[in-house]
Amino acid sequence: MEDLFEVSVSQRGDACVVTAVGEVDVSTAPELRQKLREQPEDAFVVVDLSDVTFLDSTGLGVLVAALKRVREREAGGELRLVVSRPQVSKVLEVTGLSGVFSIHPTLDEALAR
Amino acid sequence: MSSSRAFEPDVRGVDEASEHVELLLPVRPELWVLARMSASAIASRLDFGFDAVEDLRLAIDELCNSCAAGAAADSRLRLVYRWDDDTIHVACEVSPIGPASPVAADTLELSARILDALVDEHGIDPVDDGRRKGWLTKSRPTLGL
Repeated sequence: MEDLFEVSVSQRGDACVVTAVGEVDVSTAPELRQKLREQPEDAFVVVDLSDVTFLDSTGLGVLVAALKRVREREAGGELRLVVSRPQVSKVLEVTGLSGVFSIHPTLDEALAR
Repeated sequence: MSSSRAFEPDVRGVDEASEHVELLLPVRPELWVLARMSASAIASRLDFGFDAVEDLRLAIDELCNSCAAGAAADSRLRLVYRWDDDTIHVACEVSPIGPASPVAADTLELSARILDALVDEHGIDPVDDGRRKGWLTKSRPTLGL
């Protein structure tokens, strides 16, 4: 079956940009989890979900775990999300996580410090 | 979550003569996309509208996740869709499954919050006779509300 998900990492200034494309569900979330775990604990990480067309509780769990790691290690790291699609915004809102993450509508805004 | 049930989720008892759609899948999460596609197709045919179709697509995914948590590699997931004028009823059953099948609490909590927000009613029954059953109902949104 065709792979509906891709994740890549790039450097933008001092930020590690983890870009996810496609559907984040129980079968693809481990790939996103792996990419996030590979980032240095003091990194400024931006997770770009602009082209994520589907995000379920498993994907949310991966993002929550990454945010917990950043906060618990207190190594100066930071995690921000880029969210532009209503479907992704909605799932963050209904789970009460929209107030937990630093969410930005564009990558440029997320990169601004 | 409601304790009252508008739909009997025992998929073994489905009236074969009634209009319904069944989907039988191996418990392989990469196949949940087929469950989402079927939900989307049925909701679209019933004129649920874009947002409600997207809601149901996500809800079906969460139902599959919750029912299949901890299932064995040879387990099967069965989805049954039934509908009336403005409501879709979905039953999900996974078997075989052990009574002590682990479920990640954090993810299940997020899943329950999503289902609470997106559907009218939903529930997951305790494992019984090697089967875990779940169900949900979603009505077509009323315009103007």
